[in-house]
Amino acid sequence: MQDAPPADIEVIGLTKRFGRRDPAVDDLGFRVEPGRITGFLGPNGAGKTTTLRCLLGLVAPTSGTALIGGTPYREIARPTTLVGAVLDVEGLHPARTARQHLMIRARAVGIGADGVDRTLDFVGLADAKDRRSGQFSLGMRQRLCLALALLTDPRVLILDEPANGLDPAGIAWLRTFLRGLADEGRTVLVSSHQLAEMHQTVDDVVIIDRGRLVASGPLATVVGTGGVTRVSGPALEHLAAAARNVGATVQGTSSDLVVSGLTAAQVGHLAWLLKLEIHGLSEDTPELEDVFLRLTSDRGEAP
Amino acid sequence: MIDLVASEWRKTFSLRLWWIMLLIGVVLVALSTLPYLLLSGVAAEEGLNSLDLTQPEALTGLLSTIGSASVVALLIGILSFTGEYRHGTVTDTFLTEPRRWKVVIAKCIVAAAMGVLLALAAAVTVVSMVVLFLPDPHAPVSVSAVLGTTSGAAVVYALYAVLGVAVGTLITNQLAAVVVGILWMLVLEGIIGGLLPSVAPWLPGGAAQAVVGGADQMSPAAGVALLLGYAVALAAVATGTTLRRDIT
Repeated sequence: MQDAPPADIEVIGLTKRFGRRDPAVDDLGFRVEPGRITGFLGPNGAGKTTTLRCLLGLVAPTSGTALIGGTPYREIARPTTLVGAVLDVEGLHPARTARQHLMIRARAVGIGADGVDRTLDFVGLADAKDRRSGQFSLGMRQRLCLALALLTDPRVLILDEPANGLDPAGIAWLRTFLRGLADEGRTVLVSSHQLAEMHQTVDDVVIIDRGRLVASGPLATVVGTGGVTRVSGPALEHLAAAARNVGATVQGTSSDLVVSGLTAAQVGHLAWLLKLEIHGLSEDTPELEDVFLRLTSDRGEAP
Repeated sequence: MIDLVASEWRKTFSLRLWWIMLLIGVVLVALSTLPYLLLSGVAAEEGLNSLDLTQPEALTGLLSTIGSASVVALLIGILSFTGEYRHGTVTDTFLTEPRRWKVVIAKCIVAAAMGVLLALAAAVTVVSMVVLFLPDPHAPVSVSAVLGTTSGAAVVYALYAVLGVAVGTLITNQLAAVVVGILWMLVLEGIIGGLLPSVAPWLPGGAAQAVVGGADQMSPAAGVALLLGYAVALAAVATGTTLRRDIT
């Protein structure tokens, strides 16, 4: 990557109301750090796409701001050189070839034909570059949209549901590919409703529901609070008491405990301190989906 | 801005639409020459000077068919923006240049160039028809008359194409914009002009007449200004309304 400074994404008090309906995005705020992959998670209709389109100047917020590198998208000179976006695979004219799509963008930002060919090669479309995009599979169109986003070597990447239409090999490719971009210091924001898929990809998460923030932060922090450790042994009453003492929630019998809020290592350490006999110790990695359901249902129950 | 125009240029020529539109224009112009070429003999017998090609008046009329494809120029402009809404490419266009008025200007420049191209195609068509089918005897054909008529048509087409971009910016639904454009050019303008003769010279068609020097009340420069004025007015309304719309 070029020596340009990293650029973060900042959403502050963002609200978008379409007509008189309930707001699609409601006083949303979060920050996306450079050099990390941030998963923007929520069920369909949660307001992810509207938020991303506000970030990209396509939708005007009702109130609040969305900044990229400290500037609203519409005020960035040649914004595509700073920000690459993949929004919608339907936004490709079916009669244009892959190369023509890229050349149109390249012309607008002063990039030459060799840059176009290099980018097509990079996303694995070199052999298909002169075919009309109308003949492309969904996966190929995703790659073409990625090529459009990457053409300008942008510091910030915003991807809306990029895994849609990709086969497992394509998703693995995307994962490696996003990791490489983040490791180069780029800011990567990628939305998804496929929560299980994101678990292996992201460093940070921003979780929204009905337009509002549910949780945000490093994956380990947001997900770690839902960690569950199972432990078994002949007599674990003291272990249960000790775990409760350090703030964990303990359920189960004296020979079988389910400890929420501690890792297997922490529970094992407690048992060792108490000189207790342990027969089994395991940690369930929570599915992001469970975490999401727990977080959103907590919020739903709250007054 | 130059980069944006280059991008729009490439957008236009990466599709077949541009030569389909030119082809439609050429056919329209060729058909317009037929009354002169076919009826000249009859017109001479009937003493109808406007079609009798032995009369300079009829020959001027024949050459003026170079300018008979204004509706096609308008459509070229209309399709430039509405096509992007129809195919969803407008998302990418506004990502590339979020200051949307700049996109409108770039599209106007490219549409105007297409209008000039249409005038050249029309001129080649009419000259070919003249070379092939002009009956003898006929009034003299002057190269300067051909060049003069062609340049007039080029200006008019460029202006109509710009007007079309403005119409398409305001009416983003492609079918609706095309129907409105065609209805206006072929029906409504004639009806309004017929009912209100005093207004007719101030309508776009009247302004186009003035541009080629065919109006008493208005100089060619005033005609250009009036047509541009219509385009600017429509684009200004669009800037405050449809152009600001959320792209969802």
